[in-house]
Amino acid sequence: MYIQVKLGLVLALFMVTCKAHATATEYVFINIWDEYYQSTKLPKPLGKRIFIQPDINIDRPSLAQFVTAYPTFKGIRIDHNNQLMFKFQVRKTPTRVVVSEGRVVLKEALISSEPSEATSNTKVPLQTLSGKSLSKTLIHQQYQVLFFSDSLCPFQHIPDCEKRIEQNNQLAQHNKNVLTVIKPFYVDKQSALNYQKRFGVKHDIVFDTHNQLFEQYQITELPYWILLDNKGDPLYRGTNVPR
Amino acid sequence: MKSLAPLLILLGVHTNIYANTYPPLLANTLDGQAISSQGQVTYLKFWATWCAYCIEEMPLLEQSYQQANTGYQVISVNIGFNQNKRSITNYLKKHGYRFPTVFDSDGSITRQYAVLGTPQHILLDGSGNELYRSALFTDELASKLTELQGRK
Repeated sequence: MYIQVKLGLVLALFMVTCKAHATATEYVFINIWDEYYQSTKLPKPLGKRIFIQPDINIDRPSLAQFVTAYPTFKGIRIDHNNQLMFKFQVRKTPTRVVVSEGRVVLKEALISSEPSEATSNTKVPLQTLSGKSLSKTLIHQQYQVLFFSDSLCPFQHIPDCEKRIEQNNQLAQHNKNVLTVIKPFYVDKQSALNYQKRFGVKHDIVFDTHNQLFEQYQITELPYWILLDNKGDPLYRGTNVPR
Repeated sequence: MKSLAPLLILLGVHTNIYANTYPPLLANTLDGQAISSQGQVTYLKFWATWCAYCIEEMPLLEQSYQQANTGYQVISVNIGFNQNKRSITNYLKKHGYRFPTVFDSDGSITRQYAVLGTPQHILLDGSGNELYRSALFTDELASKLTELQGRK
């Protein structure tokens, strides 16, 4: 009799567990910008796994690019207006939240791998994507227009960037002295090469590895033009294409 | 109905001028001071230490704070996502930044102002109307601040 009761209880508990797992949803909140440097160690799923990207500094093209690089995260969704983040009070990533029958049954921080090696401090000489060496003096001698851009275009912090890149390409068709300077934040030289291909840029491009040209010309807005005189002094600076 | 027309036109103009209106920001700064955007022109800057653009702009924010005169107040809002109060305090101290900073621990301020990216600059009038918003520190923002500083 005792054994029968015990078996019954074990069976009932097993069924409840199976049912909970079958109906549970596991939300895994990650930040794709961190994943590039420090990947999340994914534990065994505790329900139907859904990857969630907080709605901060994100857009669909960036998400698609990330999934191409990291197919494990296929199906990742943007948490529009951070509704789930607020609902489950998630303030850090990576975190998983397991929900069963409308209740949160688990909320835990996940572990990330050690960060990938920091960028080398070695000074990378300034050169165009085609390998032409550049210096401050050479820039002043060879270019009349500097176009400061970002290879993350299109993105929210670079308004109208596609239109302005096209305007700059048109400008470069008639003026051989245009240099596009690419911001180094969050991207590498390969991203600049992709930008060149994506936007059909035929004039010189430099990947500003150490942000030195951006600092030198005090650029805080993108995309942005600087027109130089023959001494290298700015004649015009602004967000409209120089005439 | 005819007599209401000028009023309706005025209301229409009003809604066209201001993209958004927000309830006042009432919060405590990291050093425990109560701060409010009510009745004052306020320059809000949303940021995080993991945001490279935000960090690059910090000296400009400090400069905007130092030069504000009585034209506006600066409130920096750390968005709190993947951040902690202690490291923010240390960061600000290390760099000698003196602008008032609020730590948005639960994300409610970020949500209140519909901020979905960092950095984010918002200029509000004393009634909470949004006068200007941009992701980066633009020439237009610099010009508006200069004007408010009375240097233009």
